[in-house]
Amino acid sequence: MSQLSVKEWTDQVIKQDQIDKYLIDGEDFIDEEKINKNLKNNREPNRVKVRDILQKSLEIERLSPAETATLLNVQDEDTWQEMYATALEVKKKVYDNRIVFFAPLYLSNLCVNNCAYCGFRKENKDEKRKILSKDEIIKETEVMVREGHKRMIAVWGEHPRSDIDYMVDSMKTIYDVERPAPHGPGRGTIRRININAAPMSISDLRRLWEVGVGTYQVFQETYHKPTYRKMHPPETIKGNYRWRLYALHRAMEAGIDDVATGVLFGLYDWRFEVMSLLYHAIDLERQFGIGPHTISFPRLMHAAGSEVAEKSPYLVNDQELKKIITVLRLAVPYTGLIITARENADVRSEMFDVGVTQTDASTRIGIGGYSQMLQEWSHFQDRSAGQKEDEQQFILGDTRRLDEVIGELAEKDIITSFCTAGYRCGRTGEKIMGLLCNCVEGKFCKLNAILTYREYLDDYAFEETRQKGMKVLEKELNELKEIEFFQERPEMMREFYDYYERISNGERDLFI
Amino acid sequence: MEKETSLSESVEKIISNSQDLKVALDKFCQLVSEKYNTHISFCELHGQRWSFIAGSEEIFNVKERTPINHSYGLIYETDALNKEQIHNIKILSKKIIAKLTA
Repeated sequence: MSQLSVKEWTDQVIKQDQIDKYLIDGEDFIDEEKINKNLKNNREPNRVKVRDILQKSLEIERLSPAETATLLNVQDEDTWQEMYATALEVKKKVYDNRIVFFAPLYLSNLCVNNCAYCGFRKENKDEKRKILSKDEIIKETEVMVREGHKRMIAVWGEHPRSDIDYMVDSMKTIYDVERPAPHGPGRGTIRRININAAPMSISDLRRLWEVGVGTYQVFQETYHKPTYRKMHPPETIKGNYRWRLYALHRAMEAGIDDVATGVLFGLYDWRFEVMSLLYHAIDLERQFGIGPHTISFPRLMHAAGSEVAEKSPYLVNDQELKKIITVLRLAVPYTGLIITARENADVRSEMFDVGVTQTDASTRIGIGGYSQMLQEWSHFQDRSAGQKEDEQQFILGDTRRLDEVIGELAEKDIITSFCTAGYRCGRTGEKIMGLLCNCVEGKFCKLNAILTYREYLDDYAFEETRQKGMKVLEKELNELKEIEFFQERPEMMREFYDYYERISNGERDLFI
Repeated sequence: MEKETSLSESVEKIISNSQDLKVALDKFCQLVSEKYNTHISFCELHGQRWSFIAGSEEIFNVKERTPINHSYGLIYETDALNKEQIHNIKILSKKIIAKLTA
C-alpha cells in the first residue's frame, strides 16, 4: 500500500508522456466531426447495401466506420431481423454455441474520483467504504469457487489504499485459493483473473502482467468529450480523458495482449458511442495489430445518491440495447461481447440470441457481498441476499445462482464454458486474433467447453441442471462427428476423447 | 545430427542480424518448421499465463508445452520431434533469448 497522502498519490498517477506517445499529429483517435459525418452520410441505407455489409461480417472481417454507420442507421424492422439472425450466425462461426461464465469480485469501493453517475464517487457520503483484507479476499473467493466459477474479474476503485501493490497481492491471494467441490472429485480454483481497474502506467501494468493477469479491462464510459467533461470533474484523475483513452494502449505496451473496453450506455447518444468503440478497436489494430479481446455495454442504472441515471436523456431501452449488441457483433466479429447481471434475466436471455459470448452469474458486487450472501442465503432461496444499495456501485438485475442460469441455457441448447485454455497455452494476443478471424478458435472453444462443462456438471451442478446439461453434452459430442475440421484432425480428436474420458473419471483441468 | 549443426549455425546468424527478440524467434521458428516439417511457437510465462510472442500462428494438431526458463516457454506438436531435437531447440532458443534480453 502506498505511503503517500491521497493528494500526493493522486498527483503522481498520470504520466503525460505515456499519453502523448500514442497521439497521431497531436490528435487522439476520437474525431467527433468525422463520426458525426459518417452517421449523417450513411442515412437511409437500402437493403442491398446492408446485405453486402452483412456478407462481409459473415466473412469475419472487421467493418469500416462507414459500413458500421450504415448498420446503425437502419430503420426498417425487417432488415433488423436479418441483422439479428446474421449476428448470431457470426457468433457461432467465431465462438461456436457457447457462453463463457465468470463472476466479478469487488475488492474495494474507496475511490479518489467523483464521477457523477457512480455510487463509489468520493462525495457520496451514503456509501459505506470498505477494502477487503487478505482473509476476506480468501473467504470471498472460496464462495465463488464453491459455486463452480473458474474465471473472475477483480474490481478495485482508484485509491492509494488499493494501489498496484494491493492489486498484485490480491491476485496472488486469489490464485492460491483452492476448495473441494460440493458434489464431485474436483478441487476448485480460479484459473484466470481478469481485472477491471483504473488506467495506470506501463510500469504498474507490467506488474499485473507478471502475476498472470488475464484480460485488462477499462471502460471509457463515454467517448463524447463534452459529456466526459461533465461527468468526470477535471481536477480528478478520471477527469483526464486521454489518460483513460490510452489505458489499453499502455497495457499492450506492457505486454498484456488481451485488453477490453466498453461504454456506459446512457451517458450520450448510443450510435455515437458504438462508432467510437469501433474507432478504438481500429486504433489498437493500427498501433499493435490486435483489437480488443472483449467489449462490454453496461447501461446506466440507478446508483445510490446519483441523479444522473434518473435525468439522462440518452438512456438506452431494451430494443436499443439489442441493436447495440447486434451492430457490435457485426462490426467487430472477432471480439467477445459481455452482458452482465446488471441486466435482468429476460433481457440477458434475449441478448444471448444476438451474439453475446460471455456473462456472469451468482454475482454480488458489494464489498464482501459473497460472504454476506452465504450468511443470508438461507437454504439458497433468497435471491436478493448480499445486495446492499449503500455498499455497491449499482443494483443488479439478475441475482440468480450460476446453477440456475446454466440450467436455463441448457434448455436453449447452449453450452456453458469455463474454458481458460487459450490463456494457458499461448492462444492469446495476435495468435488468438488470427485464430478467431479464421474461425478456428471456435473449434477449440467447442472442445474445451465440453471438457469444462463436464467438470461443472460432475462437481457443482444440482441434479436437475445436471440432467439437462448431460443432454446438451450428448448433442455437442454428436455434433463433433459431423464437423469437417474435427474429421480432418484424428490425432486432436483422440486426445480430446482421452481427456473427456479422464475427466468423466475424476481428473480435472485437462484442455486442448 | 547434421540438421542440428546447421540449425546451430543459422541461430548464430539470426542472433548477429537481429535486435528484436520476437523477430529472432520468428525466424528461428521458420527454420525449425522448414527443417522438421512441424510447427513451434514461443510464449512468455507469467503465473499460469502462457502468452504467445512468436512462431507459428497455425493450429497444432496436438501440442506439448515445456518451459525454456522461468520467463519463456516452447509449444510444439506432439510426436513431430524426438527428445534430442526438442532438447536442441530448447538450448538454441535459450541462447537467442539470453543474447537478446541481456
